[in-house]
Amino acid sequence: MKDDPGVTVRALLTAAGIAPSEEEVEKMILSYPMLRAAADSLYTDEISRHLPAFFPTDEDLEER
Amino acid sequence: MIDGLPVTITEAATALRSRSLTSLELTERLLAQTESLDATLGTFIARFDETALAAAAKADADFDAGIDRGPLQGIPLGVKDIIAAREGATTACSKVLDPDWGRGHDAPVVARMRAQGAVILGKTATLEFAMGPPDPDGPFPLHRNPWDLERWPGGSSSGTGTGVAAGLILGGLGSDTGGSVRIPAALCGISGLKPSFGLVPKSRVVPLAHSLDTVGPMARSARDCATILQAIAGASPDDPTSIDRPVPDYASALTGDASGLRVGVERDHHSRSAGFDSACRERFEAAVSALEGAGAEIVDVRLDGYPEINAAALLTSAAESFAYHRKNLQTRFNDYGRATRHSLSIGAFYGSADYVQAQKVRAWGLAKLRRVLSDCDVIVTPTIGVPAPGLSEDFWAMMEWTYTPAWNLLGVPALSIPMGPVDGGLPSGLQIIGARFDDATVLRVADAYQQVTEWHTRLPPCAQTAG
Repeated sequence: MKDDPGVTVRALLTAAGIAPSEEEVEKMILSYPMLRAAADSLYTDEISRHLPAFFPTDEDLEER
Repeated sequence: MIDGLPVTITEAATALRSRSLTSLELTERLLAQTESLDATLGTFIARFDETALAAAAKADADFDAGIDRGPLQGIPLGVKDIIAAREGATTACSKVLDPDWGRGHDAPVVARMRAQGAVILGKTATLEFAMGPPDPDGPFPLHRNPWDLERWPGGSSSGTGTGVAAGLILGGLGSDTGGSVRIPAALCGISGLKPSFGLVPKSRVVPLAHSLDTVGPMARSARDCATILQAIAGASPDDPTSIDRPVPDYASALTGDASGLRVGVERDHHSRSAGFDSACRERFEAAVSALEGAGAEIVDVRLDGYPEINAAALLTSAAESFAYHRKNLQTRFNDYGRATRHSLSIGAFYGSADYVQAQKVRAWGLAKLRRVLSDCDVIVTPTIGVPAPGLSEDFWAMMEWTYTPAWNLLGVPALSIPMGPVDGGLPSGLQIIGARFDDATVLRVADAYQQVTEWHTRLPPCAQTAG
């Protein structure tokens, strides 16, 4: 199913309960494809094998 | 020096202790500098002249009595107006923040500076909620770069940046969630540290993105940043993200040289990018050479996954800031500045799975960084790949060339220091990144660079002619 930024952005804003002006919505629609593409780029098999670290982890702590 | 006054904390601390200068004299002169320049630069949101002069007098009385509370005694400093200070309200430069937020209380970082006898001159300007581009239609002053008043000083810690650069304060606090200490440091020609996540408590600090936010020092030199960091670092019981571990002696780590240290130079995702400003590239390469001259071993490195780490940082920031502001965006959308509400609304575009995936990138990215740091002690990059933009230019165009957010996601220390002028005499910044909780080595490398260069001593023309 093709993602129509205009439809998607309006639906997401409605779901979030926020109501920008039409001019502001149009600006957000323009930026959405780039933002979505950046988020989609994170779904690689290599990344998905890791557990989420909701805060920076202490694994790299070393005595220095 | 500005009119014979020291412009660094280190110089001022020496003068105060020799009593060749009193804190009262220093504070009065900086207040006069503020009178001359603040209306133009937009540095302060609130000034605490009366209480600052009283604190300066107290510092002098303590010195005369042989009482020395610490390196910040008698030193005039600024505090970004998302950090609570008891003298007045915190605004976050927004109409939205509760007017009583933090009123009457000091954030731990402010209390710690005050415990050393620091003089708090006032609350410095911030982008609204430390978030996005300046809003020229907003009720808060526009921020101007001291090096070119028609250019942006960077943000969101704009006021602390301009205040230090123009000599209105000798140092101060900013906050950094995606670059908000380092960007104004780079564009204003000063030094600014994003410390390790968890090193400095951020209770009574208005949050932006809770897993990325840090409070960091801004001053003219890395040595001065180390002095402020020494005062503010350490766990606080009211901040569960602050890590309880011993705070190193940062001053003693500043050996003045980089001998025995390996400096990793990451060019592939930075200065080798198409469209990178050629003058910035020249300055960066010159900085690398200077580090070698300071005793460092230079190693070429590449951080695989940098684009994904950067993307995850921006997604995490958008999601977390949206979560914090969601209710107010629903009920007070138009009370936010236009640019701020646009930036905050972006968080609504991501789903829960996106946020979780970004946190997997955090773990993945930390593993990749650990591999790079097995070959070097610190990594260096430019802070920003273009000069300060004009006030009317597109802020997001500059962000494309800003190399700061990735290090917030990974929770590691990152410091920006001046590396020389680019076109039009505008400052440029060298970014030094280290392992988590190895802020000392980052500061040591920066201090070593500043022993062999003088870029951090440059003063903007407006600072030299004011007063």
